Order: sequence, then C-alpha cells, then structure tokens
Amino acid sequence: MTSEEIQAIFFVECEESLAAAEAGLLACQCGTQDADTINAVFRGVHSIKGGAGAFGFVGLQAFTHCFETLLSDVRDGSVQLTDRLIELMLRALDILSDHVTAARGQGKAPDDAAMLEELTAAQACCARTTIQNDPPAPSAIAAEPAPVPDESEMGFGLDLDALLDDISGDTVPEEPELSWIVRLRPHAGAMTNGGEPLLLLRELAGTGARCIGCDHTAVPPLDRLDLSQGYLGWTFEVPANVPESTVRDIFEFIGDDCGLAVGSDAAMPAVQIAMTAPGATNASHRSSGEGATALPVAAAQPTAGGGQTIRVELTKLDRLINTVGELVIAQAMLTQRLGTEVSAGEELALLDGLVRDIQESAMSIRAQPIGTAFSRLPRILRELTASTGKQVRLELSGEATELDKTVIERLGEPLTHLMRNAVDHGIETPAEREAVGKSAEGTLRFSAEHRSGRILIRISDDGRGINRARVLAKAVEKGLIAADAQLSNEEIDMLIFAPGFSTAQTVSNISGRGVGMDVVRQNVKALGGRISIESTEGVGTNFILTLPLTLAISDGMIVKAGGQTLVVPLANVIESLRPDNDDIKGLGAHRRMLNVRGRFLPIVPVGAAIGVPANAQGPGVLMVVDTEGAGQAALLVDEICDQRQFVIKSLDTNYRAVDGVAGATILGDGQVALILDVEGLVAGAMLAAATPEAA
Amino acid sequence: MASFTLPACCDQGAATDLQRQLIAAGSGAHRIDGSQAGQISQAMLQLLISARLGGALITPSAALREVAGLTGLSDVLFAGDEA
Repeated sequence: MTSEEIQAIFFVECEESLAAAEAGLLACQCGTQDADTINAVFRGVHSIKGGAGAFGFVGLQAFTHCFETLLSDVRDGSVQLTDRLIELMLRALDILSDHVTAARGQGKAPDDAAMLEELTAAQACCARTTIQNDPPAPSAIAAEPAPVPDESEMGFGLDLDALLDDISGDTVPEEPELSWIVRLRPHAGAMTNGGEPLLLLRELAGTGARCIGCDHTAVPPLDRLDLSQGYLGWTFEVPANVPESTVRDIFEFIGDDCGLAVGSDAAMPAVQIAMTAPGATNASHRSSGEGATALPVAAAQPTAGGGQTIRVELTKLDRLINTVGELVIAQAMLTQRLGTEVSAGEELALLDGLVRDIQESAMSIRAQPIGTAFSRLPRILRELTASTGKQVRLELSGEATELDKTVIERLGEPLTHLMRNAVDHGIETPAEREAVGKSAEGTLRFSAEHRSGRILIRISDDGRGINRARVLAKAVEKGLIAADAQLSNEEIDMLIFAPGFSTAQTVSNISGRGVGMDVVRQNVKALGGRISIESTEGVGTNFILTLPLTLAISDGMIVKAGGQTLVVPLANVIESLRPDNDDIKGLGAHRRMLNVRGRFLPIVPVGAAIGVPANAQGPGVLMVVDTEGAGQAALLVDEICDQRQFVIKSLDTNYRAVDGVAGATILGDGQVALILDVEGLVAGAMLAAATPEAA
Repeated sequence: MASFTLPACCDQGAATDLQRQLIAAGSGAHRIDGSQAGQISQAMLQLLISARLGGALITPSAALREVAGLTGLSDVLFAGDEA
C-alpha cells in the first residue's frame, strides 16, 4: 500500500472521527454526559492527532493536542462539562474539521489562534482548580498556546519532543519520581500503517518517561531481516504522576498493533514480537509478571452492526452492483424461457430466491445510514445562528435509516438549502417569537424513515410558516402566474421552488437570490424523488422529501402503448382505472379530461407523447400519476402487463438523453423497455396541448 | 570496506533500499555514513542494528544520536566507534 493510499484512509478516518466526536458532543449537549460518550469524543480527536503526527500535519497535530488536553481533563473529571464548554468544543471541532480539510489540500489552514487561546483558557481555568486537589499532569498545557515549530526543524515533519516541551512549558516536573514501568513493542501493523512508532516513543518521552532499555535481541541478520516487522521492544520508566490513561492514550491510535504491558516496577516479561503479515493485527499480549497489567491498547471499535469492517474501493462495488443487475436480468430471461419449455419450477424458484438474496446483499453493501448526510447539519446551523442571531435547536431522528450511498451524497446540498431556508425565512428572531408567545428558541427537526420501499425525510420548523399572500404577490410580480390565477394552498406553496423565486427583502449571504429552493427541487427530482410542503402560517413548515432507496433498481408498471413496452415508475402512480365513456370529457379542440371522483385531470396519451402510433383497438387503461411540476394527470396506455422491479440502465450513458424517457431496462424476454420520465412527459404534453390554444 | 550513505529521510523505503545494497555488498565490515540522517524510522534503526551486529561502523548525525539516545540504542549502535 502506498503512503498516498494510507493517507487517503487516514482522511476517511478523520471524517469518521470528526462525526463521532461531534455526535458525542451533541449527545453531551442533550444531557448524555456519561464516560462512554466523553470517551468517544476524546477518541475521535485523539485518533486525528495520532494520524496527523504520523503524516507530519503540524498545524493539525498542534491543534488536536491542545483540544485533546482539554478533553482529557474533562474525561478525568477535573473539568466540569458545562453547556458553555460544550459549545466551545463544538466550535473547536469546526476548526479541527477545517484543519483536516487544509491537510487534504482542499483549503487554507484556519486561523486557530483565538480558539487555541480559548481552549487553553478553559483548560487553565480547570488547572487552577486542579492545583488545589491534585498535582497537574505533565502534559498540561501552558496558559499561552504553543507556537508551531518550524517544520524543517523536526523529524518526519515534526519534533514531538520540542512541540510537547513547548506546550508543556514549565509544568513538567524537573525531577519526576520514576515509579512505574511500561514495556512496549510495535508489531508489524504499526510498521506498515503509515505511522511511525518512534513518534509515539517521543510522545511517551514527552510525558517525562525515560527509556531504560531496548530489547533488540530479536533483530535478525540482514538477509533475514523483514523491515515490515517490529523486532524492537522498549522499557520506559514513567513518572509517578503520569496516569496510566495518559500512556494508554498515546498508543490508542495504533490499537493492537503495539504490544503494551504496564505494571509497577515489578519484573515483566517482554512483549512478543508480532510476526504477522503486514497489516494484520496481533491481539495477544504476553504478560505474566506479578502485578503486571496487560493493556489492550485500544479495543476494536464496534461497528453499527457489531461486526468487522473492511474498506472497499467504490469502483469495485459499482462493478459488483452492475454485474448483479445483469445477473438479475439474465435470471429473469432464463426463467421466462425455461418456464415455458421445461418442468424445472422448483429449481427456477430456488435460483430466483438466490438471485434476489444476492441482489439485496449487494445493494445493502452500498447502503449507508443517512446520519452521514445529517452529520454536517449541526455545523451549518451553528454558522447560521451565529450570522442571523437566531436561536435554533436542532433535533435529528432516524439517523440509522439506510439508503444508497449515491443518494446520500446527493442529499447534502438539498438538506443544506432547506436548513438555510428554514433558519433565514422560517424561524423568527427571538424577539419576534416571544412577541407571538413562542419560546425564544426555535426548533428545527430533521427526521428520516423508511416507508413503502422509499425513504421519507421530513424537515420541520416551528417558525412563521409560509406567507401565501406574499408568495402569491411575488409570483404575480415576477410573471410566474397570471394575476387572476386561482391556486390551491399547495400550489401556492410549490411556487417557492420556481427558479429565481424569492420573497426575501434583501439578498444575504444565506439566501435571497431565489436559487436554493430551485436547486432543492432539481436535486430531489434528479434522484427520482419528490418534495412536498405542509405549512401553517404562524405555526411552522414541513418539507417532505420522498426518495428511492437506490438509484439502481426501482419498481414499475410494465405497460404497452402503441406497440411499445414501457415502464412507468411506481413512485408516480396513484391508481389505474378503466374509465366509462362518461368519465372522459373534451376540453377545447385538443384536450380530454378524466373525471376522477369529481376532479378533472388532463389525459396524456402516452403513445402520442413519445411519438408512436396510438392503439385504435380499445379504450385503453388510464393511470393516474402525480408529478411535481404539472400536478396530477392520467396517462393513457393500451394495457398494463405487469408490476415488477427493474434494473435501471442509463440512457445518457448508453445512448443519449431523450425527452420523456428517464432510462431503459431489459425485460425478462430480453427486449429493451424504455422507462418513462413521467414528470417530463406530462409537462411536455401539457405544454403541447396548451400551445395551439394559445396560438 | 564498502561505504553507504544514509539519506536525510531514513524512512522504511530508505531502509529497504539500504538493506538491498548491504546484502548485495556481501558480508564484511561496511561503513555507513549517517551524518546526513535527519529523520529516523524504526525500520532504519532495525536495519542499523542488524548491520552493526554484522560488523558495520556507523557515523551518526546529531539527529541519529538523539534518536539512539531516546530509544536506548546508543551503546548498541555506536559503542567503541569514533564519534
């Protein structure tokens, strides 16, 4: 594995660590301040620090060290976790995130001087309290933030000794009482994970510990030396006032890749050399001395499912998903052909079940909890509240709800815009809220749940709701609707998604240009989803996003129109019916309307809309469909053949974009069927029907 | 006596290169010039120990001496040699 690859993994882990730390701090904010939660925050920051040191990201490492020192005191209980401190640490986490981004080369390193001062001050404040109770830990930082040393002066891009000395200042006891022993031996994993064990030894030495022996007897002759193995074992004397936890924390980052044994000063056997393959871990630590304590340096972090995880290149996963899609198609074709020719029903059913299992397993590999899309929201909210002066409490629920990775990635922008919109337009200022009898603090909720094979995301605020009179006036002013147009409340609400629409009096850096909500609608539509609004003036607004769980497979109705086999996505279909002649009425010279329980919907003949001859043999079947832009309509097809899952093939990739067609799929009989873009089809038909009349 | 020079960055890659050269040079007392060595990895330390046990003489830089001190290997690597 190249160092670039290892570094890429480090950055992925940074994102996970940041998310874990933020989740922990938010949980603390909500009152969950137990040891596990605080440890999770500490671990997140500490892991980043370990990697930062290994890769020589000096600024990132210096910042995490300062942050971690405060967290360490919080964990030890010498600093009380107050709301103010949590808020400070959340802001520190934002800066840490910027540091990570800068380390990736995607931005400028943040100006962290003020934050370092704040963290230092918070820690120094506790240190004063601590002096009255316990002696300060040697790693306690000085009142002033440490200047970052010149990179050129440091080994591997940094000199942890100097750095820690600078940070520790005069707090390191000059003559520490050496009273306990730690033995350690980096294993193969520590030699090949992109880090450098000697940096950890430096950090250990930075606590005042002193090496009193190195066991090099296992180092083989040159021709048998495998440099990816760890042959050296060290014994360090550690000052009595350095807690075990401090030493444990230093090696936590490399986990089981470093054998570690801590005892008093009693004789302790050397830790075994890990003769495992590079990258493998050795969880066994031999430690049999009396009084010795074998420390699991870091327990494996349990995953959501409690199992182990591996990282897989996304392109490999996509290939697998694609191949499974082909397998599903091939299986359907086989079933269709053999089902009519041979008696192999049982075997085909078994095959069908197995293919379905493989398909579901493959799709679940790409599934991720939506919490990854939600994780960026707290920070955005902090920035929004800081710039607007509004007080907003964020509530998240359903973060574990899983959906396809691509869907999650594309959700980020719409969720951000919806949050901006809610804070800027929805939630009132504290004074305005109190004036109408609400609490000064508004509430913004993001929730997710599975419903009927799709995911439903609800963004709710308890703000002022949509001012429909103002929206209507603005829409007329902008020429979006006629002055005498009669619109339902729902239709008025949907006007806010029109391109360029904004009721904001002024354009701020948050919103007001009328771009965001249009982007939301476009993105949701591109994902095959829908968005709807429920709003009550003075009470609040709900935005409801309904999205497919995956972009690769969908449910649809197989229909025929003009001799063509087509697929209508089930997400659009409300009902299908065979109307009586009385239910169909003419409107003008070109349009026909379907009476559905007293409501007239325009009929769109699918054959004509996609340019194939209409079927003159029968009345056909009407399918009532719902669209975002054009409302409900009735699609006229010749017949409905089936309802099934289908594998979506991109028409853009394999051919070119075609109006009214969203993609294609291969049916069980091998023929290609076009998947209708119901939204575009209905909108296009409405436009075509309206044009002759307009002319 | 074959001579080898340590680069400034003695990471695992550099150690692997040097190991290859040392093996190619065959057995015997080699001289390893580490006067330019600035960044030392555990892999390089292990290689130097192995070479030293095979009779190599090592000329250290200040950084190498410092690392040897930190890791308790000064005697193993340099004892009896000229500074």
